[in-house]
Amino acid sequence: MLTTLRTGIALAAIAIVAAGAPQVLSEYRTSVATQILFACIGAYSLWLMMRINLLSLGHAAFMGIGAYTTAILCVTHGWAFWATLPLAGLAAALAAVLFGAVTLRLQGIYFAMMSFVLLEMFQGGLRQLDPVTGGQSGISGVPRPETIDVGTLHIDFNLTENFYWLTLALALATLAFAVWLASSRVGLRLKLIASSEKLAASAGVSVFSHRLAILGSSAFILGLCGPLVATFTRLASPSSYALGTSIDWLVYAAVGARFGTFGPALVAVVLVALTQIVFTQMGIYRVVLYGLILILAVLIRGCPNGAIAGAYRQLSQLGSGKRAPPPQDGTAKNP
Amino acid sequence: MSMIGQVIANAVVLGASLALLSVGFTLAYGVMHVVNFAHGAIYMLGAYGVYILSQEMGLNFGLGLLLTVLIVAALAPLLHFLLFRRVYGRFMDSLMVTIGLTLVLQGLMQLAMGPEHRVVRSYLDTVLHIGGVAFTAERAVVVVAALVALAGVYFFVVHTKLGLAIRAAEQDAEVAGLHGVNLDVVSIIVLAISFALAAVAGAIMSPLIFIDPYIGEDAILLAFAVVILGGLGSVTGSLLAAMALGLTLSIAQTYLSLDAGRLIFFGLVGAVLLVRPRGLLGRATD
Repeated sequence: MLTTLRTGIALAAIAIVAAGAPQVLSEYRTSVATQILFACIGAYSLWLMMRINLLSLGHAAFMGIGAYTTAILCVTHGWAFWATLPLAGLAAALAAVLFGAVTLRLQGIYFAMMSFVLLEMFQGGLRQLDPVTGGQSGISGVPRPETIDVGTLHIDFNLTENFYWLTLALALATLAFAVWLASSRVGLRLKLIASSEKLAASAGVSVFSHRLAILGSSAFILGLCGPLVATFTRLASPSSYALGTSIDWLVYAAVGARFGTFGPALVAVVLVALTQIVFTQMGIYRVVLYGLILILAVLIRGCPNGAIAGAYRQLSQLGSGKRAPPPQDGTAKNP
Repeated sequence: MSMIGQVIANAVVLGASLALLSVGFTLAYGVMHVVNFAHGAIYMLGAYGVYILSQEMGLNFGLGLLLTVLIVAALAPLLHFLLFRRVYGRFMDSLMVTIGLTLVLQGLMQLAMGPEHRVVRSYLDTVLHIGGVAFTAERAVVVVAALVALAGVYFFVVHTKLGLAIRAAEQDAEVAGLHGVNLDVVSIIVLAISFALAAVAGAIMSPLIFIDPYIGEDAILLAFAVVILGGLGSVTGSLLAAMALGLTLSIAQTYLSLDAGRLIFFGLVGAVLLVRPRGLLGRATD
């Protein structure tokens, strides 16, 4: 109970600090902060997948599906931004559930490898459907969300700080979902699935449906974020939703998972701020830095699920320092 | 007639290069239980190795290829002790570590050679005519090199004592270890073979493509698709799937587009997974 209270206070403090940021930041820095929020949302989408011991290389595709849903409906068909937003989330979730229905019954590693194939199919599909998607150059001129004008409430999303607050709302909702998940009964079942699929199944937990639900909700979040990214850059193009985007999120999520539920946000804030401010002139060092950080994050403390890592350590010590025997955990077997 | 011949010839060349690329990946998966995402980056190193040695340092192409393969294979012991040894048997961790390694290798290559496309000059300008099918000699070399390299690996694994140790480790690493198989040595050798095959693939494909530090991403994607279709860990399955992808791409290239061919093949892989969850020749238990 005390931990719940403490987490709640931490969440509220983060919300207050983040909401106040535009008051002290310049307009340029506020737009950098908006990009950081996009990175946080992406990071939590992969953090959610890591809760169930799955790693995705293709999650950028779900953000892309959301972005293109809004771009096509707004630019080509003249819809209002707000009307497209829920559809964008649902389209991404639907795609994820279909993909999960095929791949989630297999070993986790098939999911990881097929997610890369999925991303490539998404990009290939965008190029093939040139008349609808604008091909390689994408769809430009994605409009900002319409001004909200209800009574005394007047919010113009062309203003940088208003758009920042809109993105912050989604980021905080994502964070709250992650916090809830970490402490709820569902979260407990996910922990069981992550430590042993077989054990979970024998305890009556449906591994497949839990995985599908997490995949669907992480894609839904990204599907809602996609339109925000598209309207922020005024463009939906294939290159915005490529492998590199997924890998950036993976770095934030994998490193951040070491520091508890708030970890991915912390790591995303630090790394994006660092690279946007310090490394702007030397983009390629950023790639090397991310690579080294990812390697160290895995090697220093083994895999994120402590129980499994412990079991491996014991097994490999039994084997007189030889390498660990083939896995006995959920990543290897399908009940 | 010659149209069909041309399609088949293209399919064989594409299939050979894909087989070369995916066999090393699936071998490392089968023996050490690692998913080496950096396999694509090793392919990229192979292409740049030949570019640097034969083009910038003026060596003969064949010598450049040989040196490249030796240098890349020599990375195996280093990377074994630094990285791979700690993630053998752990699919997710091995995937994450090798994604990190890929970023480092791509970044360093871009720092050294720049991000721009490079062209490896043609080293043979003969055109062969076999049964009405025109065939540049370079493309024939791809097929010959793939056959030689894969036959060499097959001979090594099946007919040598070390090969026996590798097969033992593949069946049960723990028991093999208890019978005195040095798992470090086996792992280093399998890793070196895997790296060498990827480097050969990169080197012999380099005159046929533009090279840049990011060509490995596409290579590992195709290797993933091939290996999943063939069944993870199954070498024969990978060979079959590589030929299937070669044929799909070749037919699509002629009648539709290369992009469409890839989409069709990826869809095919998904469809096969629905029916056969472990791919064509994947084993029932792993």
